[in-house]
Amino acid sequence: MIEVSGLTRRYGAHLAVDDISFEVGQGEVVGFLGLNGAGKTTTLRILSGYLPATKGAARVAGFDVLRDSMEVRKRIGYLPENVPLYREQRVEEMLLMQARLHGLPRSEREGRIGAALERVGVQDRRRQVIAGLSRGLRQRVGLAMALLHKPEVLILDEPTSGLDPVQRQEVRKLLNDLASEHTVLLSSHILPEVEAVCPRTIIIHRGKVVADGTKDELVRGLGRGSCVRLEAFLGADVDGAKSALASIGGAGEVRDLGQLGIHHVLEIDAVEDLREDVGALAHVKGWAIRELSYQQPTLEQVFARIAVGSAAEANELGEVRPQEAPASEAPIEVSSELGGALPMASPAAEAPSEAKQIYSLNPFDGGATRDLNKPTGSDPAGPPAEDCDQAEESGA
Amino acid sequence: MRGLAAVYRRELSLLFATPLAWLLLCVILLLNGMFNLGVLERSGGDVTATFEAMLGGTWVFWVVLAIVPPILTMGMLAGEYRSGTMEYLLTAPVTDGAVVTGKFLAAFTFMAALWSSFLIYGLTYHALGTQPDWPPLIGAYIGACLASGLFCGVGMLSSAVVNHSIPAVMIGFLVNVSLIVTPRFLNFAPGEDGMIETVLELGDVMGHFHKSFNIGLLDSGPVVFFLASIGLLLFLSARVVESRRWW
Repeated sequence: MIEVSGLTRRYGAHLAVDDISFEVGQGEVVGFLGLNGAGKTTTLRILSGYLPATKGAARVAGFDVLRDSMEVRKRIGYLPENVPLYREQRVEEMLLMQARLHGLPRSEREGRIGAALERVGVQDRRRQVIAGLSRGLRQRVGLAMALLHKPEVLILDEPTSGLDPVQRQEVRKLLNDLASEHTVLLSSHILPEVEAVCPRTIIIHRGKVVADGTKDELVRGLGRGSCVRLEAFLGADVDGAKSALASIGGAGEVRDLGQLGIHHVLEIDAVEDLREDVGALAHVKGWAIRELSYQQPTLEQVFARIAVGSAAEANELGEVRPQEAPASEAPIEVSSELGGALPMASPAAEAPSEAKQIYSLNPFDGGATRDLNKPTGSDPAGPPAEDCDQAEESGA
Repeated sequence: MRGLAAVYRRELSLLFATPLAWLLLCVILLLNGMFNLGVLERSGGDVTATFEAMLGGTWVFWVVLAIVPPILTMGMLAGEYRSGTMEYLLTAPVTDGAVVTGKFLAAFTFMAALWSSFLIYGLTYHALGTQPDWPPLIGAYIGACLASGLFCGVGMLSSAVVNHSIPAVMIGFLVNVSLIVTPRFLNFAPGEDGMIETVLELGDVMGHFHKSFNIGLLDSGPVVFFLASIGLLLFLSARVVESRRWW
């Protein structure tokens, strides 16, 4: 439905879009993801026929956007980022003008306008002047305008910017509905939105397409890979445990992230989810497991890695998932691929090796302190429950 | 074509949705009425002479022609650029030329409505028993509309090249004034026949107006001059709108 090949757009000396190519098939919903200024809007403007490309070609619904601009314009519903509506007009007047511009038959106009307004949930604002509408409502009216003539292709530039969370949710739902009828290309710099709505994502950075695929493909292709994280009391033979873990079918490198209290933290590189096998092994070996999880890099991490660069990524991730901070920070800190450019990684990684004293929560200890790094006993069944809590607290 | 009609309808309704058009109409009709009465009194009740003076014979007419069209057209393209709605229009299935022409026709319609007040005065005199000389009156009306069209075209072009209404109206006004005034310099060099004089004479809006319409003669020459100028200005405006995609 949309074919873009070698598209380039310059603004003077500034190269906004640099030789990008992609295709969007009929009925596909594709998210166009990128930071502000990455070239998303420029690309969408070229596709909508508003801007000419400096180089390259784009076809929408089988028509060249430059040569058969009118044919393309008839077949697309375009919602620009700033939602251009005539402020002094009423909602229904605006839609009526859109209907006239698209040459909808007189008899159909009323019905279509009503349907479009209902679809975006603003039918009660029909008579309102656009200048008096809030940003969110205006966004929806813009969406109604784009939908009015039942276009084959919907091109939406940041359709949820400026909306509150509830409205966002509604627009997402609406976009999911639309996906069945239209080919949708939407841009956003908000990742969860793209993740929620679009099965396929194109990531654009500094005018270039840096990634294109489904979420899983992107994560697999660009992610550092998934791993099984094991926090367990392994007893005395840690090296033996590691080699046992490495011998599991499908397991890659086993990394020792050090100790957290009495527990060893290990990561086993694995493409598949190996928790079953690790759990079975732990059962046989009698390890006391505190955590066993399968971790996949999120699209967010992939995006951050591309867009911000690896150094800032660790920071970013700490903010994104505070509740999982220890879990998601650790893999980054030890990653060799990211190189040594992670100064913030060291304190946390070294934390377990420092002699940390904390108060015991055991009411029978009378508030005694103990060294966290020292095992409380060699009982393979594991330490008492309170100690687990303490270890967790110290880790967090 | 249907795109042009949609743009025209919206532009015309917009003109009358803002106070500006009503204010202009109010002021100009008031002035017209007052001058009309004043001139009528001074001419000793000569209705035909009054119309001749009011439509093209006095400076008031030309000042209105130089000022009002740019005010009407100032926001038509510049305002769209400023508010970003140009992106909407230029991605709708309507050509650049249709956008410019539709907007121009809205301004033109407004001016035609404005000058039609003279036809109403004529009808009033007619009803009161004094028959005005209709051919020059109708001729002058058509001429006033065509001249207004030319100045609206200038306004469209000036509105197309800038982003704000104020510079648009100023550029339009200056160009209009120079179109009216510059050929008057010919009066200082009568009988000269150089290239400059020829060009000035060919582009003399006031001269074309007086030579034909004001004497009740629909000469094809001036009609073609006005229509061709309007066409050229609209063509240039459309090309500017098109080329601005590259800016």
